[in-house]
Amino acid sequence: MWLINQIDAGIKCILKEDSEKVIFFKAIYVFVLIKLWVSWSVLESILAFIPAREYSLLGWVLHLPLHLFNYGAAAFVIVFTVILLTSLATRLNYLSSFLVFWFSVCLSKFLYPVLNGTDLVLNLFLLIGLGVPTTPVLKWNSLKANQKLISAFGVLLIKVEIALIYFLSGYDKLITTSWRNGDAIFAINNLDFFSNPNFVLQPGEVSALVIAWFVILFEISFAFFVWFKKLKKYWLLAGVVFHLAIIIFMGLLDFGIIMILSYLIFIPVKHRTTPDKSIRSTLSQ
Amino acid sequence: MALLFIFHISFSLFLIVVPDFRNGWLTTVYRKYLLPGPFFSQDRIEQSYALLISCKVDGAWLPTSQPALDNYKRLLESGNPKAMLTSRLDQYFYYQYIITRNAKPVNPINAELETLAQYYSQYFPGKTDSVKFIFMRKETTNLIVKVDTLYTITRDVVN
Repeated sequence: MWLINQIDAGIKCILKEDSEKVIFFKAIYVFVLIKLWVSWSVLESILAFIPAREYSLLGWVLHLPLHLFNYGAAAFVIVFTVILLTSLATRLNYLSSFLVFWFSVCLSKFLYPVLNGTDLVLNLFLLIGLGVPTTPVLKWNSLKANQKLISAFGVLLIKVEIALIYFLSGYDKLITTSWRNGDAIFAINNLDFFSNPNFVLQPGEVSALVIAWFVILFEISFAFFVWFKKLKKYWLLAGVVFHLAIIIFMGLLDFGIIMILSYLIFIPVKHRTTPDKSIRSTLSQ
Repeated sequence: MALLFIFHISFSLFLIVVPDFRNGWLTTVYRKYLLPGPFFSQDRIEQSYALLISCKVDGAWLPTSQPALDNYKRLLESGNPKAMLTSRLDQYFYYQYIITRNAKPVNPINAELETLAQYYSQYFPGKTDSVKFIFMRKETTNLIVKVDTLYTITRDVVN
């Protein structure tokens, strides 16, 4: 019980740190908007060459926005664009968060032939984001008191998820022989779709080993050091360099961008003219 | 709140350190939606497939091209993200054929090949009367790269 109380106190302490959640979500919305427009031609190709899926009654309701494709890809793109632009122009709120999440999941479902880890990470953020808005202010007293607490909890959960993603990725590499002996770097370098021919690198055994262990140690350590105020900025900076390198040398543009954008959630709010007392009072209860 | 948090982190860490553990819908949901990754797992980096096409125009076979790779290179040269998605879609269609052919080797001409041919027709030059699809596999293990031709299929093109 003592341990749980200590952890509870620790969580509450972390929850009191206000993050740039608005900037984070607006950046994510811009990313979705660009992704939507970039994928327009691919949506047309999928419509033309891949037969439409049949859904159960529940699936039909859950994927309701996909019925817009019956009127062409443009119908879906236009409706989703309006939702995203409205969400960008207004304050974070429950309705727009839900609509963006719903349409984004449907878009990913439709784009499954070109799906990669980016969509999973993106939709995870949007899912957690359903609880992050604090507008409109709920009228029920019991909910109102906890509204900001749930929002702060959502922000913390996003940070935890990012840390877990890195830890999972690093740990999986750690238990894989080809990563431990550096062979994986050689293999990636020989993957046609993950190596930039403009930067021909032929790492030797030693340099491949060094790069592999740098990646393993960075990913595992990120999950821990990002929680320390003094060390956080160095790991975030290293992360930006790491993902820029992935973009440049491997061409994983979308994944690199979404991971770099995710770092915005770790940036604390700089100045507040009026400290957010409501959450502090809720937490101190 | 603390209990919920402890459960989430503990269960996630458990699934990470015991990657083979699968037990019901909760682990499925966790692995699929709440724990994205791992990325660049061993099987994905050690084996890859490619599709080369060669077209016969005016009685002569043109040099092979690899549209998926060409689009990937276009992304790297221009930074155009449309090329990235197009390259992935190019790969999707020939991977679908390879998966189906591996599952049903007795049936080399299947619906996936028809779809592949229709989709790839955008890359055929005008007056193409035949096309050759060459499916390749590349394996990299123990610092050795091995490239094999899996199958070659020649088809008439109806203009």
